[in-house]
Amino acid sequence: MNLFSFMSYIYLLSSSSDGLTRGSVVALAGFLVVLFILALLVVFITLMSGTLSLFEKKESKTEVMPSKELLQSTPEEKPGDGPTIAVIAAAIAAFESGGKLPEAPSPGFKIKKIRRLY
Amino acid sequence: MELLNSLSETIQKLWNNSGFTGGHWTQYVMIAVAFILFFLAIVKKYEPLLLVPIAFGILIANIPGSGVINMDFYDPDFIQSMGYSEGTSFAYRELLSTGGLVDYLYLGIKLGIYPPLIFLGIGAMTDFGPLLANPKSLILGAAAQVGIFAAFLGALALGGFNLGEAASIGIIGGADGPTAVFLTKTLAPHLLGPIAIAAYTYMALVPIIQPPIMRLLTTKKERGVVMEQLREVSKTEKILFPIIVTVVVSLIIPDATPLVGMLMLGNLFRESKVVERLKSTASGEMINIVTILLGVSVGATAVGTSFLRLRTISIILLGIFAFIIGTASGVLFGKIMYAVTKGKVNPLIGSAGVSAVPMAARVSQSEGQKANPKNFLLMHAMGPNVAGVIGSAVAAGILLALFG
Repeated sequence: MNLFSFMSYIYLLSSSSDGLTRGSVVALAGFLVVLFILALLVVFITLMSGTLSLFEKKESKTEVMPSKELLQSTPEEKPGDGPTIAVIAAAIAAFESGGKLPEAPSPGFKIKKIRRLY
Repeated sequence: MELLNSLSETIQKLWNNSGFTGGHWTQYVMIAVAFILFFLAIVKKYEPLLLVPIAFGILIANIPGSGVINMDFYDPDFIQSMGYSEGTSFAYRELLSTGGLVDYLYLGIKLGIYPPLIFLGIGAMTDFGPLLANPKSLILGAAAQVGIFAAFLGALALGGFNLGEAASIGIIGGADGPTAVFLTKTLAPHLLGPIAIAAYTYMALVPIIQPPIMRLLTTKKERGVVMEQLREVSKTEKILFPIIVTVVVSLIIPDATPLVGMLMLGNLFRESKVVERLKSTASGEMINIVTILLGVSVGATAVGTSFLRLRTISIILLGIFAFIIGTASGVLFGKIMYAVTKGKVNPLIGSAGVSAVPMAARVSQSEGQKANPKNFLLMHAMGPNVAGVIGSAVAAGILLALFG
């Protein structure tokens, strides 16, 4: 039984009574249907927003490309971290200007890495 | 002497053909009504975009002898007497042979073309962001539709109106002109003039009608509630919203599809950002042109001889009753939300659920600011306001499905 069969059922139920009673039933049912549809939309919108916000969070977690501003910043360095962002930034600057690369702070630091990052 | 007689005859002929003779007193009353509407629109600046063309339509239709519109073409009895088959909506042969400009313009109403086109433009102009940020405001949009069903019952209780007529009168409570026109042209085309004029006039009078009701039903403390800032809504949400609403509403109430569908199409133009030309046309020249055509045609239907009847006065009174009940129920639902959320929702935003975008939201804002100068309710009220547009279109769809 769909919504309109239900509405028709209510309408038929009240068809034997006078116009006002019938109108009252129709008015009540009509308002309830408006309320139901808009409440349904509330549910859909909430579900949509919730689902999208989950995806947005995932996307932000997988964001790997560092921005230029980040590259130029000097975050806290820990010993043994390898080439830090600040060193990479300095390397890029040197590479751009055609100058010599700064000395690598760890053995794993190679020019190839710089190129790829850049 | 002969020359004088000829001159006198010519002047007599011109006088007899002029609008000063043969006019009915009702036409002069309607001309006075047109002047009142001009005053409201031009001096008071109440909805001038709507009231100026409507008032002008009333004016030209009531000039005695102007005959700018012939409503007989759309009268079921006339259509039948001309030998048309059952279900023919207008006497097209007579219209084509003797119809004038306004007769043709009226076809846009009769065939239900203008209201969906207006909705297309409204959709292209409306930001549903506040509604998406606070989806609960849809409930306030639904609550304000109580006025529609209360006036429907009121019309039946008053007597003299059938179910279709009562439904058309009730829709005035939705405070949505295009929806009122859309429903009435199907359920009670003979009442289109009074219903459309009542709907548009009350929409224009929102700043006068609503504030006393809002103040009566709320305390100063409630009116002064400052609501939390709305969250930011993503582009994806805004794009998905019109599609979801169209699918959900159209599946449940197919009769609401022309209105809701066009509203959402316009909004998709706006939010998708890939059809900027279509969006600017829909929200610019197209809606302006259709507003002119709709306004003039609606105004022209209010010919004094058929308009000024006791039934019209009943319709006008029932219309304001619908409006008051709609506003009150919106505010009362707002008060329920205030209680449930422990004072986080300002009940004033409930009154904006009666549509009349954005006038009703502005009234919520100004009333909130009167109670607390630091209160900015406009964006919060826009949620129920645009929800009211969807709610009244859904209500119209339901009434069409039941009585159409």
